[in-house]
Amino acid sequence: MYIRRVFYDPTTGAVFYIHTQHGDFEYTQPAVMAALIGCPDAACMEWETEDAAIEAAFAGTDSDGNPRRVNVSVDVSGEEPQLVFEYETIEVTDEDPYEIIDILTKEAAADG
Amino acid sequence: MIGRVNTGGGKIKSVVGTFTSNKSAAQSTFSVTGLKFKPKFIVVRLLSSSNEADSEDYGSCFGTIDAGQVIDIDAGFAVYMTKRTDLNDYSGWANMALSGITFADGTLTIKAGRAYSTICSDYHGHWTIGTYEYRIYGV
Repeated sequence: MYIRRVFYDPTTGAVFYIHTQHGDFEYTQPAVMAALIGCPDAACMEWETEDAAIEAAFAGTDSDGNPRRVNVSVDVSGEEPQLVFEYETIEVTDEDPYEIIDILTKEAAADG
Repeated sequence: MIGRVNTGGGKIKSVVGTFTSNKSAAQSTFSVTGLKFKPKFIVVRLLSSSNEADSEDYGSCFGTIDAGQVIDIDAGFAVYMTKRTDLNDYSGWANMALSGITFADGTLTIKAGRAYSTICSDYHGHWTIGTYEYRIYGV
């Protein structure tokens, strides 16, 4: 079985939680998961079969394989809620992304 | 024979999926519902972070860490792995493995470990902000 769910604030459209499941499980009501994540009043969009377009929209890489950060919200202004995707490019460099941590650690050590 | 897993004669079953821990709703636990088998082994890893490592809110302190967690429920232990062992001092995993994991009525809930961030100079007990992949195996 497959399921994808997006839990969101029905008033603002802010997304609380997104999850997928593949494998040996049975369907449970969205309200069960909403309660588990501490958002019992959340609205839910769900897919019980994989939709290629939806999966591509959620993917962490674009069609060319470039990594990206996927930010999702829900447009609740219309009759039907609509997913809104915003993408941020993740720049891949040869630089050490953790260099700042080394700098901060050394500064902290120097400060005693 | 290499790598044989003793399942007690049962066929291994699995559920694989993803979940998010959002900036606006950091998750101290994550749950998987509807499981039709008893979970025995779990792997969770951070696929991508949502925010920058610094200059963000409380919930995003670990945003760029590549990390994973492996839990053996029967053995009662969990280990946390990160590519940057000098960044965080993870603690309390023995307790997490025993008391932070519950399974009842097909619902598995896993509590995040407690970790110290040198960036925030504080302990945190939620899943790092980002998107995770989980793999749950059982019989």
